[in-house]
Amino acid sequence: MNMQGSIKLLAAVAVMALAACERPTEAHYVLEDYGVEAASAGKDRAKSPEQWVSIVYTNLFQTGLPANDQFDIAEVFESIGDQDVAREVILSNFFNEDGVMLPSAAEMHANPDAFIEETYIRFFVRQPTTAERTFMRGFLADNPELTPELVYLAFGLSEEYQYY
Amino acid sequence: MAATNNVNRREFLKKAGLGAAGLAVAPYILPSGRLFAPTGMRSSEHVVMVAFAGGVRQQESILQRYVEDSQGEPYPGNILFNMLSGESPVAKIVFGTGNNGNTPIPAILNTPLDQQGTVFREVQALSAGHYGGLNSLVQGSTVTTQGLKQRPVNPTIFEYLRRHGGYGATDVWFVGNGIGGSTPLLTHSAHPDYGGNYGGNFFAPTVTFGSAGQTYLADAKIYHPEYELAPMNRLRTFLDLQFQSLLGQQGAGGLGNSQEERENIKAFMEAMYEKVENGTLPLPPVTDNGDLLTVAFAVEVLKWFKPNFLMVNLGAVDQCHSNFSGYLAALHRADHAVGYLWNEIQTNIPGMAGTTTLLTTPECGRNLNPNNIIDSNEWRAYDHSDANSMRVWTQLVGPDIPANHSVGSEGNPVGLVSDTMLTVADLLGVKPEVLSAGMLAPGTQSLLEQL
Repeated sequence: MNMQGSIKLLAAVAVMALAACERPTEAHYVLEDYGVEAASAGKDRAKSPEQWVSIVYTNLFQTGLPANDQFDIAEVFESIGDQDVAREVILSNFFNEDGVMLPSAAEMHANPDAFIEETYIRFFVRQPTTAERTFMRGFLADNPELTPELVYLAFGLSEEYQYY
Repeated sequence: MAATNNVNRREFLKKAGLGAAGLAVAPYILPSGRLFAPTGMRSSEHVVMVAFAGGVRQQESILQRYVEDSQGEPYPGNILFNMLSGESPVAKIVFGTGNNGNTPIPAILNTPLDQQGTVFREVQALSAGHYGGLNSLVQGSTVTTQGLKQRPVNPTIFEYLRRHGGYGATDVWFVGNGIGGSTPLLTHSAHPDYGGNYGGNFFAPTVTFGSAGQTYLADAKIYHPEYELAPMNRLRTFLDLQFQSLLGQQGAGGLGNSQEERENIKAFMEAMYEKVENGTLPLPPVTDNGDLLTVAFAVEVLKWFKPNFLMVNLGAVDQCHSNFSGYLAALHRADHAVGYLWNEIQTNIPGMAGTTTLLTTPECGRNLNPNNIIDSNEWRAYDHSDANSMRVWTQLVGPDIPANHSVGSEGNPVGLVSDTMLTVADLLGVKPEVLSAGMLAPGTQSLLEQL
């Protein structure tokens, strides 16, 4: 290899080395807000007793129901003919346990809009419609004795909550 | 004194009203809102049906052959002391209590039920299996496409009574021996003209009020009906209406119990949990298996709700698949359960004594020949699949049932298993509607017409 060739080779290596050391472009990943409302999506599949128990427990306690408890509660659920009654009794038992994650009544009445939205998303996995928001706002205002527990009870026992 | 007079007057008016109507069923507002009167004549105020008791051979029950026929031992005898007249076996006693079951359980009833009522001694079953048999008792038919873990295809007696007789949801009950198989599904069919809104209420008490029930249901919070439940229910109604209008769905799993009925059921449950916890639940004199506990709770349902119709399902006899001695013990206890049930109705449930008809039918029989399983007494076990499994019997007792009367015999079968269901419909005034629905097994007739 002559002198000129050596210089060219050296230059090429230098260019490659410099290119390899170039700082990569910094990537930015962000989360975009995504609407979860599904009012018209059609919840047409009924939850099984196991699913209902497991989901309502998670919604109330913000933690999963142990598998053994889930099995036992589902059996008890099956042993009662009227599933509405079974749901009422199971839910009211849950509300007697420690650890239910509930806002206070004062918080609910102080900021009803936030409470309404949070409750619809927590139980129905969707935003309330304008009509629902308006009704709920008026209902909370007209019933100052209403507690978040009773609102959660109504949502947990509602027909929509039986479907996914 | 004044209060007593008022009660007496109310009772008098109630009885006078019933008498004037000749027990014809008064018009009812049905859930559909239609004013309607069933066309049948009600001849009994209350009916209790026992599905007895998990596959019973004719030979050890109605024919009283004990181990003579099944095991080749020369000891016939009756082990259903409350239901049938007949001498107890003189040897090889294994069905009682105490050491190896050698002490029979004394009869509860002074007069066996066969002397108080009528026995159809040889009845044709529609199925050799439990589920088909139970379906034939609640539907009055068997449907070949009926799958396990599916709702009955045709309407059940609970639905006929509620839809055509106007009976409320807590007027009709099914008390099951557990939640195995499809037992909890028998309360209503998937038929489009009937279904859940006409279903019977149901408990499987050994589960509902057993240890799991105590753990997960007994600590229910009591809400104030006016200040807490009322606004909660208004909110719930709004949510349900929104769901129905926005999403076009309706809730599932309800039985059309009114709010008042639901609260009454919850109050009953609370009372039962308390009785169980305090050890004050009245029990049959011997309560050492699930059937006896089931019947104890069935009696509590009768006391609390005084339903027009209650069906109770017993099943411990099914251990005959592998334990013939256990089968005999369970059969003896199923009789004890029926004796306790009838005695409680007659002595401890005001309003039902003298106004209740009891029907008892095995849902299926058991094989003529044994399988190869030998139990601790070296006796062979029996399954249920052959022609002998299609042989059963039915016993009726009640105010208008002839006493000490027998219909049919081993060589002269009379009646079908499905007749039991139509007889309930007949007694409670909806037979014409059941017949015109056209979904009974061919040949099904009310037993009252075959007396």
